[in-house]
Amino acid sequence: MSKAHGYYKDILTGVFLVAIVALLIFFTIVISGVEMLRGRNTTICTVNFPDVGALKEQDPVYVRGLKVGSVQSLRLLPGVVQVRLTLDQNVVLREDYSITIGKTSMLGGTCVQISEGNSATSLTMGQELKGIAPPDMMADLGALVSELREAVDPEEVRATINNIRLASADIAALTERIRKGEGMVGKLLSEDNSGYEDLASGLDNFRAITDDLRNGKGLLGKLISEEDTTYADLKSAIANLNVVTSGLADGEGLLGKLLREEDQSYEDLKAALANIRQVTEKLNDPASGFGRLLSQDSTLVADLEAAASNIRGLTAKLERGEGTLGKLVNEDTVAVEIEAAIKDVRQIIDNMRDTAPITTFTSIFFGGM
Amino acid sequence: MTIVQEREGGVVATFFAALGRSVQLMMLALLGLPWVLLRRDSRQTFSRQLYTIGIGTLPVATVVAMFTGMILTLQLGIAFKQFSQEIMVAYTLSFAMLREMGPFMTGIILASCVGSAMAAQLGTMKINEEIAALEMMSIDPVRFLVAPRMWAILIMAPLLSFYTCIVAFLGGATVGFTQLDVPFLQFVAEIVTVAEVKDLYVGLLKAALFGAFICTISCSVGFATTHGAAGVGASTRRAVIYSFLAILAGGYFVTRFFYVF
Repeated sequence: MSKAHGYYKDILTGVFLVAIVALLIFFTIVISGVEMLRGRNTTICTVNFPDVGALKEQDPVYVRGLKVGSVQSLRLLPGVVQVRLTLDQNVVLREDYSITIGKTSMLGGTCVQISEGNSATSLTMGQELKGIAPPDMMADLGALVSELREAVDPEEVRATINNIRLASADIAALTERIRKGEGMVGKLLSEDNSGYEDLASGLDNFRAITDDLRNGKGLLGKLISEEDTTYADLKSAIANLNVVTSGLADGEGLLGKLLREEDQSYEDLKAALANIRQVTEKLNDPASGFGRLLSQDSTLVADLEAAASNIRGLTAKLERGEGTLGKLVNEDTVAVEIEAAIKDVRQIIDNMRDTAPITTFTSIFFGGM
Repeated sequence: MTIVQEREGGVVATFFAALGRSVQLMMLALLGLPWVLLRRDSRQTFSRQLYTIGIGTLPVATVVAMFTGMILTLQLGIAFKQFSQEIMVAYTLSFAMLREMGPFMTGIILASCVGSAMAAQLGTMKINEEIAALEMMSIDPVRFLVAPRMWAILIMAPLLSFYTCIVAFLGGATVGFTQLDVPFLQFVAEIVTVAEVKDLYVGLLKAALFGAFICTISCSVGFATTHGAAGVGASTRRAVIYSFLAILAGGYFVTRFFYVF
């Protein structure tokens, strides 16, 4: 081995030694919880517990879920276990504080849990604190079992178990039905998607309806929408209805008068109805004149029909221009001639009227002679 | 002290005689620290042994530790995953490595790599009567040969054990991140949270004790080598086997002493 090679080996060995020793020191500092590197200010807090459970040194201390320190030491004193806590942060305890020993996980591990309290008065530093013993789960469970054993009737337990068994059978039947795809839930869970599709379709429809409602479509939508016109209309209609009903209540109008407690209008209406009834009875009475007319034995209808037929025949002849009247109606020459004749007659009469005094005088004169 | 010994009596007597010589050898080697530090040639031997034990075994230790951490994490992770408690792997790995697996693996590596070499080297020297020559020159072979090795292994074994733990943690955190979806830094943070100083230093003490056992047994077996090259091979084999047995038994008693009593 050359001298240089030996020197190189020595350096390598020295570096390894120093590195591992430094790492060991650092690891020791970290796991021992000494905050030498950070230089934190720590405070010591002494708590007396009646029982510490499985608490040990270096267990964490939590305030509101935040780790604020660790257990420094435990000392057995008469009646209590004195636990010294190293706190890294400023924890202000108040009069209604509580310090308990809890579990860090379901699988074990203990910690100290501090609740600072809410009262106005804070405690002074250095004061010895009192802790609450951790609950003995096994003892509590044993006590609970013995209490249950004393309290519960075995027959009731048997009946309950039987009910549970029956319920279990029912559940098994239900799940079997569901597995087979029977029923609503079964159909929803089965591979056949028709039930699901129906439901989805129904939901789509429902969504469309709710969309319409949200968009203010339809009466209900308008009522729900922010626009108040429909609501105002409805309010106005209700107000009108209110006015109408008020009027009715006040006895206004015919309906109001009818609804009034005063029975005069009702009595009048009743009398009128009685008269109408009498008239209709007379109409229905075959012995009366109108009755005879309206009765099935009456020939009035047949006579009327015959008359109508005759009139229809006359009018048809008139239409066709038959007879004098028909010609008068349909042909202008006859009318013109008649009009000319009438004019002639009117002229003759006028002439006679004009000559009447002369004629009369002449008659008288010549009659006298 | 005369190292060269001839077998006398039965098997039991031979066993106790070997045990007595080994204890005596260890004590003398420990007491030879001033001699190691004061003499230049001993210091050179000590330096070489530090390199051989520390740097020489580093690649093997790295690979073994890395895969041990990875395997432990994977196996424990498969079990803990059933309970959705993958993070508990970090807790378990921290306890296992610091308390037992780190020192144990270091002991096994040192016994295989270093102890066998010591037994073979001293056995060859014994066969070649170099040790007898040293004695003739009034040079104590224990101080000259064993003390530097003893102190070198006492220093390097705990450091190697700690290095093994760290590498195993990194391997475990890598597997935790890639296979168990546990964030790397969270895994490391959980290891640090659960680790305790007592576990760390008891583990380091255990590693040092294993180193002392390995050196004592290997040197003792090497000094007792006879029958030429075949004897050297047998001594090497015996040194490794006895070291393994001593590591297992010693580990149990140390654990019992520190964690039960």
